[in-house]
Amino acid sequence: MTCEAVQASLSAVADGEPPELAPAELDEHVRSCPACRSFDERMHEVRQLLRFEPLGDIPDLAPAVLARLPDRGRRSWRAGVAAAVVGAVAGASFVGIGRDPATVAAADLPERVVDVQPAVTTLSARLVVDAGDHRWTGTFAYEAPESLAVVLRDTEGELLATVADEGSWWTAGPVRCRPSGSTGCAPDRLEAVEDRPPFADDAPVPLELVAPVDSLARSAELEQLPERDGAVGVRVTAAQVAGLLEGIDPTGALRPVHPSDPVDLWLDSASLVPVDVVVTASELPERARWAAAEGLTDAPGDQVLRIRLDDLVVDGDLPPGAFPRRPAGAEIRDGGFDDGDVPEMVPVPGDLPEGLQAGRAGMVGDVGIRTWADGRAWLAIRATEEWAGEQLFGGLGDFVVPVHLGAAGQAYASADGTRIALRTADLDIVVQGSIGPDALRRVAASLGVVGVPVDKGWATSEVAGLADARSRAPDLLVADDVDGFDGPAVRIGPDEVTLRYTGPGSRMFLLVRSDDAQLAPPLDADVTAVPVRGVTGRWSPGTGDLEWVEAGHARALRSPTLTLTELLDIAEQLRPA
Amino acid sequence: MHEPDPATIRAAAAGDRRAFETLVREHQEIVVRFVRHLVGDSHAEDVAQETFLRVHKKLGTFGFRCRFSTWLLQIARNAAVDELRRSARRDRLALVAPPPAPPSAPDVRAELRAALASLSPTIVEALVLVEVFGFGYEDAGRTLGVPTGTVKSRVFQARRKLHEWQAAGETGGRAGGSTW
Repeated sequence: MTCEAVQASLSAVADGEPPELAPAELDEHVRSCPACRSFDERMHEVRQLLRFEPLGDIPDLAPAVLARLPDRGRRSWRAGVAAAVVGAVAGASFVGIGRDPATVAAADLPERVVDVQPAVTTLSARLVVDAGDHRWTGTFAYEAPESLAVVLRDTEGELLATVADEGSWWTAGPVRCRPSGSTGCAPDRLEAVEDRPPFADDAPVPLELVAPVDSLARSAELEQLPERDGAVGVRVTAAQVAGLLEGIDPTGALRPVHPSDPVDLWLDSASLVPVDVVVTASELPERARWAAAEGLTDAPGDQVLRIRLDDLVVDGDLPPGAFPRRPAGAEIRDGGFDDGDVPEMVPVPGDLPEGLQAGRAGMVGDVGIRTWADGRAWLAIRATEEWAGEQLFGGLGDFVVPVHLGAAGQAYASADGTRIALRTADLDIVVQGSIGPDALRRVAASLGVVGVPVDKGWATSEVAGLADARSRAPDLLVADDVDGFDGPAVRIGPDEVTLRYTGPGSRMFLLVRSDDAQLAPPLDADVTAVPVRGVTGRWSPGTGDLEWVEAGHARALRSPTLTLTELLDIAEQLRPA
Repeated sequence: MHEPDPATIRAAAAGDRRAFETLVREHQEIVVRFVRHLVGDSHAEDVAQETFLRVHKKLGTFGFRCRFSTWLLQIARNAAVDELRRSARRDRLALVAPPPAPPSAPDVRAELRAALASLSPTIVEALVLVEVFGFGYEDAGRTLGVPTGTVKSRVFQARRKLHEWQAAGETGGRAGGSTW
């Protein structure tokens, strides 16, 4: 019986909570232990001091509060932040703070990026973006968990920015003009949201720029680049870092990029913050065809887009005005987040990962939200009693993977593993965050609720497990051996079975087995014949469909982001379920 | 902590200034007592005022789904956290170092304040909810958004540190009688 254990029990007993050790044992120890006796006495002294503070200390606030209330009918002003920051941040030009860059092996990178999220609480850097010949410069700032500012201007003063700070969010930038067939360009976009809920999907904050968790999750063997001072580099594709690129250029107005374009991704060795992203034009003929259609003049190997964070300062002080206020003239949408209202119906996980601290919490209409964060790592749980149904609450998408949580019942994970939804007798709940799929599962299993299967007739009820798919289609093929993809998430439709495999970023493919014995007429004018698995199949470059007939049924591998070469490679690795 | 009359809350939400004034007067002590442990004496009044301004703004959305005091303390906590973040941005060297033991008779209350000020706000808020406001571990967990077990361990941590602080003061040769 250690003194620490005794003192822990004394602490619990003092609060009327059950102690770990029996009262008789506690008494006996305390009688003969001066240290524990002193702890017990101090605890009670503190209690008296805290409970009985002299009343005279506390002033009457009512007059001051009443004086500051807004006049009826007018909203009170919110404190604003200084005007937009333009140009370089003066001063500091050192990378990291007193940390030796560790040698990071590329193979460990996906786990390390998740693990090192708590180590960063602030970031600031100069930002330089080269989109072809067009240069944009500006600043980058981040404060955990979800305040972020990307502010860029080109030589003509055109603004490209996304800024989020607590409940305020705004984004501005040029809109790309399509080269042919358009009647005119749309005006520059400028959107703003106030009272934005934390981690809202419809006003996204590009946290991939501070921690490329999605860009590296589920990665196959990563090709490591030759060493560079203070940074570790890997070669990936634009599809993989789509989230990161969208963080800088949400609408692709700066430079369209092909999913197959190779990307050199450099991360600061200590913090694993992306510091240099170099996109070059790939050599594939389908890329050349796409570029021609887009009116681009890239030659294979040309640098298409480059994003650099220079003079990165990690965990330093942020300059004043780091999160600038939105420009005038924005139409402001109400995000509907009310952070004064305790979301009592949102369960708190019994198994909360070490280090996560409770953050913003509140209600959006009938939906309660609780959030937790530790540096860049974040967790959010939303729940509602008023869900109308038809599909799972929580924005999981069309493809979900049923997950059984033991005593916690039935749950459903999104195809990319970043969300888990549960339907219980009273509530619909979704758990999401950047802590990794295993941690999310543990959180979901510790909410003290029991998930039930979705109702028949919901769209989600087409979701099935692989066993069901196999009984429906005994000649089913699977792609489970393919590196760099998780899955499958299964849907059983009236005429076909679809398996979705998900890779990092926007890399994914569908493997479809149809009831039909023949291929449907092609939709693409540019169809070509290709040999696939010993038969003649067909490739539609416009829609990204590779189709063939095997064992008497039509099959397809479909992807908007993988190339024909990659799909043919996957086709060779298919095996019976 | 007593619950205000729902009629008072509804009247205040409807714009009745006297009803709102009643709510402020009835709860200002609780709010100040809570936030002063998180932001210190010098900022406690400002944060408390800010809390009531936010309460006024949000009163229309208080749906009686939880206790008023829980709702109020959640707002107070958010206001205190916002103030801490503002101070942290302004001045990262704001940590309070333990003051040297005074040579004359000790002011136990002042020493306790100093001790609490050196603790992390996350463990102070747990201790304050449990000790000052009598919250059970489960209610405190719901208010703070953490599991019951975490509340229990944070309260224990606070008590351990306060004990260590006192023991250090004793061996540091404080004149005058001990507080035992």
